[in-house]
Amino acid sequence: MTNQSLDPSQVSPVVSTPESMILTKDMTIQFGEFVAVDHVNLDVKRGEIFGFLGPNGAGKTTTERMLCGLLTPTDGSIQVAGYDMVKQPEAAKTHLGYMPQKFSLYDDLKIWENLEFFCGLYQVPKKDREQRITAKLELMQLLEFKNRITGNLSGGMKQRVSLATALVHEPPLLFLDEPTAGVDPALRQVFWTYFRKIKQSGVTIFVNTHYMDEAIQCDRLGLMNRGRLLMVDTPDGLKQRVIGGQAVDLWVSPSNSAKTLEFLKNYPLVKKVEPTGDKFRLIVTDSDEVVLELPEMLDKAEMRPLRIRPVDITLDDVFVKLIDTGPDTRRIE
Amino acid sequence: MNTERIYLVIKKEITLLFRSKGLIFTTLVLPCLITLIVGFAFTGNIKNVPIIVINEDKGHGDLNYGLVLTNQLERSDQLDVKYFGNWLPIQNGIDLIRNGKYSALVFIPQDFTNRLLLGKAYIQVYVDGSDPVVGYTSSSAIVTVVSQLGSKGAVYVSPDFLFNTNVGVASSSIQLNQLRFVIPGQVGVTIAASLTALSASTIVAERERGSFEQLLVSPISGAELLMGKILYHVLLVGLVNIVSILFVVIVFLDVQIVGNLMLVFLMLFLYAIASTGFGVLISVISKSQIEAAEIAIFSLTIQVWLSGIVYPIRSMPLLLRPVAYALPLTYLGDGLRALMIRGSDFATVQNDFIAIIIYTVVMYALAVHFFSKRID
Repeated sequence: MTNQSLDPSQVSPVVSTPESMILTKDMTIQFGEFVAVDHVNLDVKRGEIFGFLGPNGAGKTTTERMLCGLLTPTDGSIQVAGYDMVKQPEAAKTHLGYMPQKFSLYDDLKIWENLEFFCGLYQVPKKDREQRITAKLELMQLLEFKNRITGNLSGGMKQRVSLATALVHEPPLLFLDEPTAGVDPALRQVFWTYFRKIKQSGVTIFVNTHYMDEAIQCDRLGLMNRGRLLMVDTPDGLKQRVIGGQAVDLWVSPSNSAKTLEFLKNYPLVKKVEPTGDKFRLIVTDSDEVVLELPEMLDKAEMRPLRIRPVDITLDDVFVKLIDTGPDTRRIE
Repeated sequence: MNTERIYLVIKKEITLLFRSKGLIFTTLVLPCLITLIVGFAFTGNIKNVPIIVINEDKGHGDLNYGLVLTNQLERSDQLDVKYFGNWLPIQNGIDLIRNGKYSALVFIPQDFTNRLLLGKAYIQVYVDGSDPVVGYTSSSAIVTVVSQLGSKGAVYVSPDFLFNTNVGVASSSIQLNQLRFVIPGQVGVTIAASLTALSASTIVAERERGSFEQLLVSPISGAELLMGKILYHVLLVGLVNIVSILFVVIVFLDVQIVGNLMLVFLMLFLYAIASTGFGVLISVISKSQIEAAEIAIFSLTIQVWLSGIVYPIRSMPLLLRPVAYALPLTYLGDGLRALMIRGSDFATVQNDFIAIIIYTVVMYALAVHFFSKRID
């Protein structure tokens, strides 16, 4: 217990890598024979919004819980804000804020009381507390409701209280676990406005999400499947790497379908052809060039296309492409 | 340990308690109310036990001691006599007991007066043994009345417990109606029930509510959180319960505490901490509030029956005795009986104090231990 009574601000960071706010090495957790998270190496930089994507059961929440100190990894190391989460949990925890997926404050306390309680747990200096809480409630536009009983609030307001609580000790690192699950689209936008505002002030945000329109607002994305971190890149970088170029959709009449496919396979500007439904999706280096040139070429070969147009590759495409839906092999039995 | 965090947990719990009116009643009012109710149920004698009197006594001249005895039985508050003179056969009387209409039968034989005049007489008493409490009460009431006839000569009574061979020979000295002998155990059980049941849900409720995660990502340690929870239960609920229960016992139930009241209080206070520690341990190891409630109720039942407050430990099978000595109520019951009834000094109950303190420390250490494990 002596270890835990140390003043966190006086514990020196283990390794001084100031720009890494989250640094894991071969972080692994096993539940019995089941490897839920498998040798994950993450390096999230200060001031980044880092999005964490993956299908249900990929190990996103488990990863985030380990990073927050809620679960202890069975192997590997975790450094958060420069502190070793396993060896210096109190110091590490002081520097992070966490907004869980499920509302987890006290329903019978007033908004203000909830924030005051957590302010105290994080040992925010007494003289600063009132001003801090006021500032956070103002940011979340909750100040006028500060004496409301939390349990009586609407879902959206609860989420805002939850975010205000995660921020009240002004952590340099914020963990969000699907912060907008079950929140209407308008409020989702409001939340992302908050997140960008927080980021502006130098806070690093690690966010689990299912929504691709949210993922695209992140600086970098990590893609997880079956406990493994498949890829880390910017949203554009991910598209480029996974899809391998830009995309063009081409519709032809069914009678020409086989002939067209043959033609496209030998057409130098097209890197890849994927027949999808009634159309072909072409992966190309430059979509504009293809849209301009291809119809003419096909026309000459008497395979007049019905329609052609460049498509924006969405993260959904990336996601679907990367996540293969075969049997889960993590269960060793 | 950071004392401010502990203080904040206590403050939070108190705020939550006062926001929930139902909880205020069950935690602060119910325990002393239960003591009051149990006290009144026990207080005074068991009254108006219906009995049959068959009097075949032929008397001696004008003298008929059978009638005298019947009159005196009728005068007893505890008994409600149905007089059958000499026309009801004993077997029919016993059938009436079997049917549950009467609890006892007094049979006065025809030579009762004559024999008494010679110095030695007998009466026959049959008691319904299926309810030992009522059985003992009626037989002891009958024996008491009969003994008042003693100046005329010796009357021998042999109560026969029907339907229950284990009750054996009833001793006329058994006095179940004496509340003060029941109170030490009753107070202990009430304190244990109140604090164990309440604290058994404290951590698991946070877990079910979801607030547990928010607590665990904060820098509060398990030791701090559990200490805050225990102190809240003991300092608020425990103190209110102990003071109100002792008040009810002394003022309303008129039970005299022979020994040192401060020692009684101190012992109950330590026992409250022990019960809370046990409750918090249950809370840490159970997965749902229902599971916690079941463990609490089950363990309380074991405490009540095995701690020697109902049944002497010395009479238990050898195998069960270690269990009895592992229960804190065993020491509280022993200590309170010594302090409240026998008026013993501290030296006598010293070991009981030590046992309760050891139990408390073990409970807290186990709770902290399992708590850190249970985060995973």
